[in-house]
Amino acid sequence: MNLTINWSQVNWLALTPEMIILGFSIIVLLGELFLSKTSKHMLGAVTLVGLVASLVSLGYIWNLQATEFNGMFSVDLTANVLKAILLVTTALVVLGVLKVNVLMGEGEFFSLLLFSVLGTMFMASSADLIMLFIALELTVLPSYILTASKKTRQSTEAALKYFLLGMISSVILLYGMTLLFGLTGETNFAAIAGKLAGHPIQPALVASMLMIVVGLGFKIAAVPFHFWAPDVYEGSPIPVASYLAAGPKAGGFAAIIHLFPLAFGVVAPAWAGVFAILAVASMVVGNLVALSQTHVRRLLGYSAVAHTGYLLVGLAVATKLGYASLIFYFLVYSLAALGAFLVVLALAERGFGENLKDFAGFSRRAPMLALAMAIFMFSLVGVPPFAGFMGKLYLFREAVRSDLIWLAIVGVLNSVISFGYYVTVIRQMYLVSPSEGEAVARMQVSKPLFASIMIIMAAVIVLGVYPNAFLSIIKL
Amino acid sequence: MNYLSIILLLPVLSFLVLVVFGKKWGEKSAYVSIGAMVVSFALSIYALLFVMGGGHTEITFTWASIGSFKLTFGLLLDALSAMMLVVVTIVSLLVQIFSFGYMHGDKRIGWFYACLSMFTASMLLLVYSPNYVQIYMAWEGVGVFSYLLIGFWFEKRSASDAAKKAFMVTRFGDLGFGVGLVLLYIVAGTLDMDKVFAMHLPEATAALIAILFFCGAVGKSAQFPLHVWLPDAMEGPTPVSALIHSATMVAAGVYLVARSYPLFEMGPVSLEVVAIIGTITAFMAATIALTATDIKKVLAYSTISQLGYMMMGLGVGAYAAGVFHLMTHAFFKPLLFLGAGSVIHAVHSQEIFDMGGLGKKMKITSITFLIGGLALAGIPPFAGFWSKDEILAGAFASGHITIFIFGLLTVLLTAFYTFRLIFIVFFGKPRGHHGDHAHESPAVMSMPLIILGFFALTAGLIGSPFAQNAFQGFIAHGHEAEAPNYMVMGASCIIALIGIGFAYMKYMTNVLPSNVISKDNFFYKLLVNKYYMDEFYYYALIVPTHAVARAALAFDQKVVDGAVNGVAWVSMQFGKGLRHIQTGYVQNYALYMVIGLVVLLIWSIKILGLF
Repeated sequence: MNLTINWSQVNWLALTPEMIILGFSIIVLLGELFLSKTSKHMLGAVTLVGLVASLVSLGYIWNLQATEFNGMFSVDLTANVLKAILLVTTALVVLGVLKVNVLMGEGEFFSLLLFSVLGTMFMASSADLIMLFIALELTVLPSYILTASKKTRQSTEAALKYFLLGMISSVILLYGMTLLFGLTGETNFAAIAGKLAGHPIQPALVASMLMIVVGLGFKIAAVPFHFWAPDVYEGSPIPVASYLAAGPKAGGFAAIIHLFPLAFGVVAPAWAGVFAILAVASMVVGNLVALSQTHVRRLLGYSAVAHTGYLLVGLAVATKLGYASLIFYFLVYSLAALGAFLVVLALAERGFGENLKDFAGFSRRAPMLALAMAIFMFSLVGVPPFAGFMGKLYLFREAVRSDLIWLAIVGVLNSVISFGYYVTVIRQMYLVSPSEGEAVARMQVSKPLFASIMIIMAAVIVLGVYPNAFLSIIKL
Repeated sequence: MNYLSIILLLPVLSFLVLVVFGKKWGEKSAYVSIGAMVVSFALSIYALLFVMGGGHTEITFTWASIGSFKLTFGLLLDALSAMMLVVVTIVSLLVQIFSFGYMHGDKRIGWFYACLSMFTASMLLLVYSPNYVQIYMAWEGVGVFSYLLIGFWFEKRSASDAAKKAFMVTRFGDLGFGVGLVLLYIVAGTLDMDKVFAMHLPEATAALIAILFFCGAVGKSAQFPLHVWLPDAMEGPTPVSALIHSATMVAAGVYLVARSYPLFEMGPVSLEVVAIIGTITAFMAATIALTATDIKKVLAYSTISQLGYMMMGLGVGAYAAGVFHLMTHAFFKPLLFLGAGSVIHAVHSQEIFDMGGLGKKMKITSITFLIGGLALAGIPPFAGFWSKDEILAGAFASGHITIFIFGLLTVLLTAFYTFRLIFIVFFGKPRGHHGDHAHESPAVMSMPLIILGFFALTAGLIGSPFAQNAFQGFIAHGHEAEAPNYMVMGASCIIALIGIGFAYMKYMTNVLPSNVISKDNFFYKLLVNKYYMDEFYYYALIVPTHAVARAALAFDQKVVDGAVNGVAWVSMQFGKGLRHIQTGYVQNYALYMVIGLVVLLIWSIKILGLF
């Protein structure tokens, strides 16, 4: 192992998106310290600029393929696409909360957000176990703090659960990594694959693989490692929940796509099967439990678990097209879920509750937001012509082509079940009148939040009607 | 960006802008829409010149790919589409200018122009189509905007009913078209036109698919027996009737047949069907037009009849003649509609027996209407004569003598009902007081009439023997026009003059005894009631459909809902059971995670056969 780095030969271009985020997170943190209270509200805009700048630089290196720092950090199209999705969704969150009270210092909030984004981006580019672990911790540690930032009993409880379970999963993950290092003496994904090739499979390798599945499965909230998700989605401040629902999972999926086919290539049938089992468990548990939820964010939390299930179909298929379908579906899901959370945020900002009954008469209070929410729900179910339909079409088609027809059937049946609870939301908004005596006045929404929701709605429609707009970019 | 896509995108853009700002801008919306159309029209002329110079363009984008199945979207520019581009954009442009006067003061004028723009865009998309998926999409697109525009004054019950009727009846034909598409995809494995046309499909299969496509055309082009929606569609604003229900959308069916001509030729039986349906339509609609008393209804039936002629031409193998008639008709029929609009605007009535003697009060309208009438009746050198004559000559030359005779009879009827209209409306003395304050329409309305009048006078000449049938040579390489048949020309010309003569005797003099057309006559009743087609559909289709719908409702409420609710209840119970796992205790959660890990470990080791 070469432990020295020739700094002059590092292709810094490959790291520009990360460097920009790092720079801005420090600027925002310093802003919290040095800016006067009245000018701190600018920090949201600064964060947005940073995210957009990072996105632009990412576009500049879109087709770059590079491995830097002795194989620690690698850039490829998969990583770039997932980073782009992360940056776009996070930018939409930041845009949405520009005029919203984030319950803590703006500088703290936005810098923690950026640190978490940075960790996720490094996760997406990890080509080494050590790098992966550090990046993962960098992703989750700010999330724990963000979750607790509401300082209510519920928020603290959710954060504590998130933290404890996160630690347990990190420990298991680290143990799995140690086993792998013990078996091969390597930490680099490609080097591990090289060492394992041609040798008989040892049970310790399988154990190591599964421990890593647990660690990353926790990140993406797959059943049975999902328990934190509903509590956190419900308990954390809504801006945080919006961020957690969409972006950070990109890191988990990117890590799985990079690590498993390469380092665990020799036990591919095992992990493909494991992901199929987790897919079914996540879909079934997520959708069935969501049916009986009355708190909208908790409902969305279980819906997120179910969608992790759909996404895992792409991993169970274990083909290049399967991963590409996963990425497309990830974008489609993130947009709709994020949109739904932002709509909940818009309601909460005007003092409405977050239970299903609080959505009664929403279509008259805010017709455009109700329309957007209905479209997000339809997209999550997978109704054409919205993006969710195309996403599911590609995923399930890959399952069918890889002789996993049963998995596709389970997926479709689950989509049917999910109709039950998504439609409840739409029914509440359009058909149920608010309780008597309550005046139905037009609801005011802050302009940035409204803009963010409208952008997401447009994207959900465009991706459904013209998926090639995105597919040609990711070269699916 | 290619100029061909700009032709298409400008009206789309105008639609998007007007949907947002139309309400705010009011009448100023017209400038956006008309401006877009001016540029599209100019570019269409350029495209036509390009094709006349021997050019040919095909651009394709991939719209969605699902495995090996690719949905493409394309812009095909050849002689047929170039001609249609020009026709669609010029008529749309003139109609939009005319509407500026006609729709003056309407509250929803922004929406009106938005719809006109998007209708035009859909029509252009249809014309451009190099594949059947796109044509089908655009086909439905024009249907939707036709629906919206027929029902533009939806406060009027009859208008919204007419819009629904048009939508449903054409949908009936589209059913056939849709089945045809699926069948074609199964047989040919592609829906790209050039690939389909290069194949050698079995004759019977090709004929079946072609006839199914023709079903769609029957609906859209208001052919017998699905013609019943077009007269009702006259509830829309008159400029809409001029654009959609005379020149463009109703011609889409004819265009579909013309575009798919190689497919029809693969199964020649289908062409016989086209010819027969076209002839029945031409003759039947002309007879109904004899008794109609609403100025727009007369023109509507004449449109149906002329579309029948086009189908007849295509069916008997006179491909170029059919397309030629489409083109000339697209000039003189909007002229007649806009002229009728000008008259309605002046007298505030559509009943021809409320009018009379308007010729003196509305000089431009009456002269241009007369030009349109002469073109429709088929008097040389007006546009309609040359194209109609080509169709008749084609029918004669191909040995379809019965069709030829009915074609000639229809010429007689056409001349009669056209001049019945002209004599009653523009000549003689005013009837009643509707026309007391009639005066010529403003320039914004009369200018389009003059321009269309010019084309109604001259457009036919480019396909006449004087120009060596230049049009036919341009549009149909390989389908060369027949040598001019002067016998047919003379016959149709004389017959048309006889028709005009009868109309003159009946309505301008008292030479014909009034009992020639007695109102108790069986035939008269049959015609006034439009062969009882609407009644037939009511009892044969609508009443049984309602009965089936009620039965289906009962089944749905009792059986289907019961099953669905049962499944939902079971899922809910499972969900409630699973919910108890979420205890809230971190210790439990950690335990579940470890149990998960162990289960997966055992399963993996078994799968890999390690123990």
